[in-house]
Amino acid sequence: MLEGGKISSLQLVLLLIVSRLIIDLTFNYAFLAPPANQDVWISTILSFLVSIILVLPIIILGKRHPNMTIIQYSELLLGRIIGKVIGLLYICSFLHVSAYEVRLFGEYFTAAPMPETPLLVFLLPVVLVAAYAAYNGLEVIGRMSEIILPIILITMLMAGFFFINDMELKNLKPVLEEGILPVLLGSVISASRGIEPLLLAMLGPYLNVKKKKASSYVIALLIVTVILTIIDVQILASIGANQVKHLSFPYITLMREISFADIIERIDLIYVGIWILGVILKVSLYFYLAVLGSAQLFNLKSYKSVVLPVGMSIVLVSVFLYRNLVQLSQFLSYKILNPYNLFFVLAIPLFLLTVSLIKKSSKKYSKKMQT
Amino acid sequence: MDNRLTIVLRKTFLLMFVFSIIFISGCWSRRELNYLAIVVSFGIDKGKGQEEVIVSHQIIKPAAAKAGGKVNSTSGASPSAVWTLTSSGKTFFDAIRKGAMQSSRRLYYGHNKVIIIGEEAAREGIAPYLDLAGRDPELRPGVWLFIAKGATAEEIIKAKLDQNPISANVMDNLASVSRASSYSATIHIEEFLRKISSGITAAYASRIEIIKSQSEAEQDTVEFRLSGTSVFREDKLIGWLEEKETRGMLWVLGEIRSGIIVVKSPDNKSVGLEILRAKSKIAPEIRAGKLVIVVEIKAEANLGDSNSQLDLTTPERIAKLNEQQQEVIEDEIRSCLAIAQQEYRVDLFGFGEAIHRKYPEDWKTLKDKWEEIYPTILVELKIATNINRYGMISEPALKE
Repeated sequence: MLEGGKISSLQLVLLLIVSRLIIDLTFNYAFLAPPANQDVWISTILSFLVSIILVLPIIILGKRHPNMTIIQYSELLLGRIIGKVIGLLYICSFLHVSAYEVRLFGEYFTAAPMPETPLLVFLLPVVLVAAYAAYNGLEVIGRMSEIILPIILITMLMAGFFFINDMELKNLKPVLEEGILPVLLGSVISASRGIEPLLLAMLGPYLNVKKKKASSYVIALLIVTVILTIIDVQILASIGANQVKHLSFPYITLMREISFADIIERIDLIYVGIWILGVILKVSLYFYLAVLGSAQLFNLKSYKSVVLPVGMSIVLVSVFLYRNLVQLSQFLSYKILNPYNLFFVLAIPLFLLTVSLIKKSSKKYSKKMQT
Repeated sequence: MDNRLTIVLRKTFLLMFVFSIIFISGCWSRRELNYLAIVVSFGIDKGKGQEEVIVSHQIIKPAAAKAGGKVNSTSGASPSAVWTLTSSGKTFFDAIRKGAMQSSRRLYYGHNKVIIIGEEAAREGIAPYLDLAGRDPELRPGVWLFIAKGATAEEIIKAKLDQNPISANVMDNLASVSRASSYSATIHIEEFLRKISSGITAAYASRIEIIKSQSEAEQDTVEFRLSGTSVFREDKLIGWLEEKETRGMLWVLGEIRSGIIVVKSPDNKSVGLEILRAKSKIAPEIRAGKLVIVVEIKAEANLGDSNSQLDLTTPERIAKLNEQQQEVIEDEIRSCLAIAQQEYRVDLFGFGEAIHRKYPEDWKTLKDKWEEIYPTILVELKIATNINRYGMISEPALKE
């Protein structure tokens, strides 16, 4: 096997959490998509159920091919050519996620604290660190998550106490103003904002206790839903649903306005610190997935030779794919990003699952692969 | 082979780190203090002709400000702690960048405390001037917004004060101290922008005036007075609330922090009650198809001082004072409601949003004709007050 390392189910939970959390900490996604009013937090809660439905095809596929990643079993199921094309699509999507994540990270820095610094200065260090992590393999990334996630969560919890003064829960009313339909639509959008199910499809074979795959996902989902709901309530209650739509980076704006007893002020840079840690972890993870995937796709003996090309493509894609923040935020709006994610998370796995169910003999194949 | 490769890699990394220490010793957008001119307040006025905005910057002169703490007024030779830079441009940002052409140091806005807008500019709409404050991260949250009554912002910025050479600090403190009287409604810029973006609730800002100085040592100095409130429709100044009406507004908004309520003792002398805390709740109700806004106010006060020689600390007399306290509060609120509903016709209190929260269905029809409905809305006041304590003495020193 390419990757000899294993990760624990706790590490998988932490990686799933950081991957989803960073999205909402960064850009103003949640408040622009339907329901786009004070009911956003209800959508977030309901997205828990939707996410469980979304992950089902991948879980079933994982059960049928316990020792393979999605790149390997798509080749097994669909034959060499189509299988490789699908595998390539997945590698591109991992590459793309890390690319737009670092780009967004750079965009915040060039938009806010350091406008005169070139974008590349922010992109390169993150990609370099991520490349080093990916080079060292899965276990390193797993251990990174054990160090970084507690720092992020504790800081957010502490900041949460300072928000309490500014929060006015009456801003959450009226509840269900436009009826339940936009809220349900919002829950689907919230559930498909990331491509976390693919982490299961890629990392499933490397869990030390394979049976815990589904339960780790549910636990991670539960924690993420709680945290995201708290963030939504914090932002809605202290800024207001109408006003938050004007903000590019709402969570950072909230942090900037913290003024606790005239002593604790201007702590937004602490937040920027934890955000850097989170972005590095997330980019390392998807970097690694892209590297691992391409090594599997091209049947390499070691994935280490792919690190450099993948890293370079991440930098190039992140710089050249979007000309400015307007284009980037248009891609990240729910109209484009969510169908895009659903294609990878739901459409292809469903197709694979159908093929797998038709091919009764797939069990025989996988046994052959295991030996 | 593999081993040798890792050694080479390690050495390369080490070399890279050493080089990065030498070459990457700071950040790009760094601003060193000795190259900065720290702007502590902005004044914005409407320009003439081509130039649409006139901006006055108050800039600290570090060396003079250090000495300026002990300005020797008799010598009169001490340099001013601040200098004023006035520039004009097509937008606020354009104007401040043009101002940079006259400054030997880079202008830095991170310590800006107040933005003052002249009355004339305010009457024509101030949202364009404040756009930068939301957009540019260098302007921090927590900046006070003042409207200069009967003056241009430039006059306020240039005003020479005796009490403190840096007038921005004076204004910053005035805004904090005004909570003790609640005679002026202060607001931060980001809060103001949020109010106008709601579209229904009207925004307000504090009002600043220049008055003649009471200082005899410095004849040419003036003083600022922060009192009353400026009222906006959308982003345009439409009028003022005087001190009593400002109190009324703050009662309804639940923003009263402290203040003195003057009532009468049984022998018709004035008695001051000090407000300790106040809360408010706006609850709309639909009674028999008619919209009624119920405003509940809870306030607690202490007996602050008394001109009367009577012992006021008997249960009956305290109850009487308490009753009058309610009447004073009601009178303050009613005077504000009258002017806001009938004269200015703007929803300063967030009644519309309260209806939206409680009756979202009815609000859909009300929303479009809110401008016509708002002046006719009945407001019912439920005021509950209490006088908690009477201080360190129970009876006046000179008792009849």
